[in-house]
Amino acid sequence: MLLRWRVLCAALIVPAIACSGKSVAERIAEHDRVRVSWEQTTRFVGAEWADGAIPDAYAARTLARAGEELRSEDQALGKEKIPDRERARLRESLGAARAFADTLGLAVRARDRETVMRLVKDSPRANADSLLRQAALW
Amino acid sequence: MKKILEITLGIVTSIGGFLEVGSLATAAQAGAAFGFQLIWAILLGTICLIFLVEMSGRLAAVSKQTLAGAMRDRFGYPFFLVPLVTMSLLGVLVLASELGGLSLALQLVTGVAFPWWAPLGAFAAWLLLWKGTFSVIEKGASLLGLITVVFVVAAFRLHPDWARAAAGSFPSMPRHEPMRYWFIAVSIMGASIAPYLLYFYSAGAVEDRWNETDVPVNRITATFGMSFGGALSVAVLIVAALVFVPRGIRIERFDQIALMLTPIMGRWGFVLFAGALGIACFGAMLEIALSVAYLTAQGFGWQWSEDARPRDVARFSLVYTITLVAGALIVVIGVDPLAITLMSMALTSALLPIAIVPFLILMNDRHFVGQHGNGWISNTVVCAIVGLAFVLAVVSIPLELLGS
Amino acid sequence: MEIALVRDLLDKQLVDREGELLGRIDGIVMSYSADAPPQITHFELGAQTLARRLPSPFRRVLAWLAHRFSPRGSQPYRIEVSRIIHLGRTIKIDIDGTRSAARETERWVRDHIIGRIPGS
Repeated sequence: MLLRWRVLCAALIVPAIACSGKSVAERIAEHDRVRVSWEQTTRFVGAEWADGAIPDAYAARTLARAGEELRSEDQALGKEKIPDRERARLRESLGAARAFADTLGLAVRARDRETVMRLVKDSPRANADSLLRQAALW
Repeated sequence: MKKILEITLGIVTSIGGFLEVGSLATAAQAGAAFGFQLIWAILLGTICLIFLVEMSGRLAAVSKQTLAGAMRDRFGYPFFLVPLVTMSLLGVLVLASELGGLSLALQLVTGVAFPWWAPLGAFAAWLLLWKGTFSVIEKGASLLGLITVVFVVAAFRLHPDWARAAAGSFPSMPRHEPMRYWFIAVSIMGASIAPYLLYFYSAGAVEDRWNETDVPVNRITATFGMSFGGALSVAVLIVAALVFVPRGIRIERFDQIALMLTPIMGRWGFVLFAGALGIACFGAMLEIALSVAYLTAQGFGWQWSEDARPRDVARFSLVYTITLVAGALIVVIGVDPLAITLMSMALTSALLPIAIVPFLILMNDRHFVGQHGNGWISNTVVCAIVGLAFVLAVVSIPLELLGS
Repeated sequence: MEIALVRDLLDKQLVDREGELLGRIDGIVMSYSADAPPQITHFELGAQTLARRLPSPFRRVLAWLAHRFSPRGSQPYRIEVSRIIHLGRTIKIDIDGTRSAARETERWVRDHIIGRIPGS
């Protein structure tokens, strides 16, 4: 009885694990998606704060959180097995996103509504392959 | 006239009590990551829940037994320990995620990131259980819970493409990230088919002394109440899809979900979201803590009643106290609230057969339900959906654990 | 009346004279001697009886826990079957539940834990 259970579990789990290996392209896309998500969260928070829709404390905390997430994403990228050229490219965009989050965070803490509005308006909308792919959902 | 009032109240109660942190977080995540594509998971879960809630009410009305009591009665004590232990542990885990949601809501409203929100929330819930009565808790929590209707309003104001929403109502294969897709689908089903709700519901029915004449009313309130409740989940998914997908935002932390209503309602959206989240989580905490106490006390034949003074039902009160303390401890240790929510919902799916299979056997046993036994439709539907949730869970949970 | 021990007695809800819940029948005791037909004499309630019904590793753990922490120690509580007033979905017993040893743990929890919390 117990043996049969183990066989059943193995039969279910082994192929599942076998399929779980991601290709290099998929891993790059995943990292890009995380970066875009947090960069866009940053813009969203900035815009909503400038509109007066969210409280200062929440905005500041969420921007700090975005910075943290982008930082830890940078560390995770260091361990990922992808071509160095791709890594450098991803790191560069991560760095820019992080700088954006930090600047916006400072402006929010300074209650500088105009700067935040300008920063959000001037920053290009984060784009990536993954965004296009998500757009394909519609 | 009295009947109509009773039915309306029953339906309103179900709607207000439907949303909790699990259904909210899973639906929001599904919408942000996959657009309307996962609506089917909410529908399947809700259909299954309608049948199960109707069944637990019918069991209580016909046999005058609670679900927990009938399980021990029918299957004996050694077997009864299996659902008792698994469902209690699961209850503590789900309670912890509700408490995480409540803490976030309090943090959003006050702007203070306070590590003691969780113990404070748990204490407030305990105080209400200690002092309140069943109907105060049930009616109060669900009437306040009607604030969650704000998601339906928001969904309509976004003018979604209903044809696409209808297309999402049918299961389809993922177009990207298959592992994530199935894991979220499993979590959604686990969030909808919450077993603790069944223990809560049947205990309430026994405490209200339902009899066979209540069977039709029970059928109507379960069907409409749970359907409207499921519609709330669908509304959350639609709003999340329309707000987050065009912006390319994926929900990775709880804080992000709080932005869901601001583009539609501005500052009010933020406040209403926090309020809805807090109330929904608080109500669910009360129900879960009580359910664990019901399950234990009824299974062992102890005196139980939410209306009695705690000292008159000492062991029953002890169990809900311990459950709340255990849930608070998990949150204080500092596990990521969103991760624990998704995982506990997926685990619910994996453990569903333990709670549901004995329940189905009971509902087909003439010794318990006489002529009010299940028909083949309810047996088939429940078996199929629970089976599907189980298989998907067993495959996708190890993958999610390996992937992260 | 024909009674199936496991279907109709074991694990069923017991209530006292007043209809208050008393516990469930955890075990059934039968006496047997050479010169008389075997006879059901008692119901048993208690953690020790519950422990005996489990597979061995769990049995030992639960028996130890019961021995260590239960106010009754290792003694299960017995009720004579002759005290049955009514047999049905629940089984009514002619005893006073408020004093019965069946509720000893309940009383212990009340006096030592729950009763000490304000507002109980």
